[in-house]
Amino acid sequence: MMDTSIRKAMVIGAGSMGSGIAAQFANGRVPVILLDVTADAARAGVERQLKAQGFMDPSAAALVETGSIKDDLPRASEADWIVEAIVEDLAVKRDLYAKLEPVRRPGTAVSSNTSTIPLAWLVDGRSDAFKRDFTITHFFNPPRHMRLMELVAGPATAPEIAATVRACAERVLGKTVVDCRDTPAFIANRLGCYWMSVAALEAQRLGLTVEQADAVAGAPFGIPRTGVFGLLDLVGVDLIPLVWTSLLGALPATDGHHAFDLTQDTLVQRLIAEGRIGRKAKGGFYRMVPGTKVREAVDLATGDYRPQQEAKANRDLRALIAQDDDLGRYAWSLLSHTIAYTAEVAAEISSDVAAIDTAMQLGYGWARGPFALADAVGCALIADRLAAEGRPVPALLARAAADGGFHRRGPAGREARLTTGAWAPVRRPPGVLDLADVKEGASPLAGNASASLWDIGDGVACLEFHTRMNAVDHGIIEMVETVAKGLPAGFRALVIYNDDPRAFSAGANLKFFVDRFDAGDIAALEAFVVRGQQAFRALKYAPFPVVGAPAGLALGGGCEVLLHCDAVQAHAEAYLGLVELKVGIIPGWRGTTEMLLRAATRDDRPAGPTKAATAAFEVIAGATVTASALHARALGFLRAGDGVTMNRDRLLGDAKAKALSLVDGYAPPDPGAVVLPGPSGRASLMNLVQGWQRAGAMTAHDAAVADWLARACTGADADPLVPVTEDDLAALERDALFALIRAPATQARIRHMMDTGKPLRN
Amino acid sequence: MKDAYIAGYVRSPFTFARKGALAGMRPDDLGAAVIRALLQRTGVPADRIEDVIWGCAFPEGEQGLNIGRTVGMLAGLPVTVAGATINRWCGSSIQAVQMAQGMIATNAGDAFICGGTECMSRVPMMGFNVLPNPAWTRGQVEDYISVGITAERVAERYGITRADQDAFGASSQAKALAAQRDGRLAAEIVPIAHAGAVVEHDGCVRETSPEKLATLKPAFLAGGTVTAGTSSPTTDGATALLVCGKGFADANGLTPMARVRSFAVSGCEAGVMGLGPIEACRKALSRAGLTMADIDLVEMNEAFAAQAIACCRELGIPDEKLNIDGGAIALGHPLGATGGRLVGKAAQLLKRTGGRHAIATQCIGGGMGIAMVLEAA
Repeated sequence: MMDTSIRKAMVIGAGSMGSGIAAQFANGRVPVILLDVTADAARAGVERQLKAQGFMDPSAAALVETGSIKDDLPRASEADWIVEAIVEDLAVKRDLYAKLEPVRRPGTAVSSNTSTIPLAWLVDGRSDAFKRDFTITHFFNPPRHMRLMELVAGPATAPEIAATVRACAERVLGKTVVDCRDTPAFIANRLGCYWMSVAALEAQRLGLTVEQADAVAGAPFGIPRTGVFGLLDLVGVDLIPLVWTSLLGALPATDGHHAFDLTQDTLVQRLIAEGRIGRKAKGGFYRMVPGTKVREAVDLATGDYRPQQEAKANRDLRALIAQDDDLGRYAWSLLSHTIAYTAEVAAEISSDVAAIDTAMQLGYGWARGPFALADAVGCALIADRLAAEGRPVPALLARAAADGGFHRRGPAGREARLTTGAWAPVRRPPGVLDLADVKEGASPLAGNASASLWDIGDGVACLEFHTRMNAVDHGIIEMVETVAKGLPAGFRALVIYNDDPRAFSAGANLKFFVDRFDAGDIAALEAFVVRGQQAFRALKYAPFPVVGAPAGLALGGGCEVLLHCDAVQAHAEAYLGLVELKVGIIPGWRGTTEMLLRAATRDDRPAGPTKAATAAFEVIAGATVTASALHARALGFLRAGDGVTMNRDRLLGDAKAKALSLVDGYAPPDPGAVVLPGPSGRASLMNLVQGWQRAGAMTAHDAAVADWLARACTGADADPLVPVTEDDLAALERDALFALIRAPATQARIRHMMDTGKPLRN
Repeated sequence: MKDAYIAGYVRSPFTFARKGALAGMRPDDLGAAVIRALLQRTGVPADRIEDVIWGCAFPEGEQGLNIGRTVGMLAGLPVTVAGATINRWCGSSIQAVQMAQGMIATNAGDAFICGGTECMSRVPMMGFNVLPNPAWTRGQVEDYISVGITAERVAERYGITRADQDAFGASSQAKALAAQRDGRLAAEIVPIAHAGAVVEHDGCVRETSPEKLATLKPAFLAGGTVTAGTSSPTTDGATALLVCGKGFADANGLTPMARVRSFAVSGCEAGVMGLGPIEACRKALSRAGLTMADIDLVEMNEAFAAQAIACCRELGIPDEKLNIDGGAIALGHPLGATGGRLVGKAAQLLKRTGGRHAIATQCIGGGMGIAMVLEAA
């Protein structure tokens, strides 16, 4: 279980943030009491999260109790952490704290999700005991998916309270916690709002179009393609007077942000006056022409809509800022202002530059934080050009420019500057194991172009895939064969893991299929099927424990790898699926077989000869991709002994611990067998298929593939009295694959998927 | 030969499967509850009952173990009262009444509790493990199991449009809603205590209109005409009737509502099972020496609007005689319990309206029809 002392939480305020935070507690399996002014409003918050998929599985909503502040605030005594997420109004918050103080248990954490109000003001007038227990925990929207949590501890906050909140936020809520000082808008919004102000105002001053500005501010900076105007549409132009006014009002008069006051921009004011406030109003800086699919954008000079214009910018930021044109000047202005401002205020808002970079990466989706960006472009280049233009060079930037940037690799590992300018090692929280750290300065134990084996310590090896989207190809199969024969001397367990932000593995390498179709070489594909089956079988029966650790997509062959591990330690945001039907085949590397073995043990299905067949068939024929690890457990991809890690940074460490826990007394699993219904079960499944086809949910070729799947899932001519062995089932998978890869409709599907990335519904 | 009379009729509220108020209740407990209420309302001595004849379309799991026996035991009937489960799918509990009639006629007992239970929340339609004979073609399996497709086929064969069906569905809802609001359903409904609450009203009845129903998507066939709004919903419910001879009624001070006049079952193509009532009604009417013109009230199960419309056209059933307190599209269709509702309702309506003859009829999956003619007692 997770190491936390938070056994129950209370969230007060069931708006989108409060209900989202409550849902994330439930996702982390912590019971939570959610209060709002009325119990109905609290229940509506739960409903909103169900609709918005704030819950990783609808079943998690059962962990949320709802109530009203008036009636149920005394239940605060049950909670180990009370999160306040009510309206951003100091008086209302203070009033709530005054009511909360006598009913909560002293020594339990209380925090506010405020994004603008200083901690010192919030706790003014409260007892010392309350101040000891109080922090600001600033989550980002939506709380399930945004990994950043900014933590502000006040001068009176007890270190053990801050530690408890941090541990729970990291492990249970899966957040990366960045320590902030008690300054306006903390780190991410302080810098993010400045960046948006500069980007929006400089685009107008320099005469760029909306599209050009977003093209420059997006990809070249490693910033999401919404750029600046797209982002303003997303968050809502109407927030500018609210958030920016409050921020600017709180900043000292000397702060550089005052030079770019977005609230005074006449275009922004006009858009708000006309209700053109962004996506929630069906139009802001961009819009779809009502009733059509035509996109328009605002002409920054006139404020009127005109058809969208294509804009491109050089993705090489160094080259872009050197361009002697509007785009180049804009890129330089945005870069130089952002870097200079960040360097200027860094020491005020944080103790180290790595924290600031992390906050911008996780809070704003930047590929690199501002300091890493400066390193990439060249700190000296930026500082020199600022100086040449007669602009001040902040001391921190000058120091970085003179001496090796903001981040470096020192003799003891990675280092980043403190905001004082001194170097300090980049610390990983205990239990966090980073594969990139392992790989730096090490060579793999074994490997090829597709996969490598790394030493992650304590006798555990890590098999890393590194093909495009980690598609399973011959190289990966070869490495699976190699490790299954035996780990290098001294190793006792294996973890299969990689750092790809999108996919543990998106499936089998379809390019190989297309190449062999082109060559008319079906035999090579048959051999690939057989070889994969043998490799995965060997992995399952290898004489050491194997733990699969997926994050992101694990589809098709990538999912089948996991099904052959002794245990899976999944990131909460793992999306598993046997989606082979979409390319006209069935899981053929023993994945159908493994799903049948798992389905036979499900306890949410009625007993009887069709149990395993129906449960596995529905998941595979539906090409279901799970919405989370929790959902994967519900659908039978994960077993009782498999674990879920909420925090992406902790996945490898947790998987390694799981692998080590299996070492003592390890014995490979016994070969499985499963009761299957045979031909009458197939008739029944095909009646389902016929219904789906009639209703338009399946095409003719879907049905043809489903027939092969039904044959495998029901054990072909099996008799329910005689369990079917897994090797016999693997043979049925091969029958299906050998037939289907010859089918023109399947070949068309595979080609179409390769060409377009989308399934062909033929 | 002795005649058989309908001398008592009660039912549970009918509520949506899975999301309704009775979803959490076991089918045997629900059956026992309506039997207790029937005995209470009729006041007959339980030890004089010969047998419990109980319809159930998918008698397995909680509905298994010969539910005809278990409902009697749970209701507190003396152990001397026997119990049998009858399965003719949707026609099960009309068949149960007919079995009692046959036993009375052949002097094999004087008083019977007939009825049925189906908790479609707890035992799915077609059962937990669907295993049709693999020798059947896929078409045969579909005809037998996929009743929604059979309704589409009937609609196509009879040229019954989407608008026809939506109008029929809306009319069924309107009749049921009016009956509910006027308290005309209360006479038959037994409040059921479950999970700390008392369920008193049918849960499927909705205020709707043909226009609203026209917005629903086809439920079974892309481009088809049958929707959730023109199909009977999956439902939880139970019904119980007291069926007895004249002597028994007199001896116990009962006033029978109706006499069983005739009965028939028939078969048809499974793929158009919804047409089953046509031949069954013709046979039953002929055996009674009557024609549809002699019938004052028709209680026909509305498995689907399409099949009900087709049957009405073929049999010449005018709207004003059909399901005057609403049909299964509005009230719900707990498979094994529905037949008992139709017979009980028809008997009750004869009493209420002063009509002379009524007919209760159903289509049955697999291609069958069942019909029973009643005469006011």
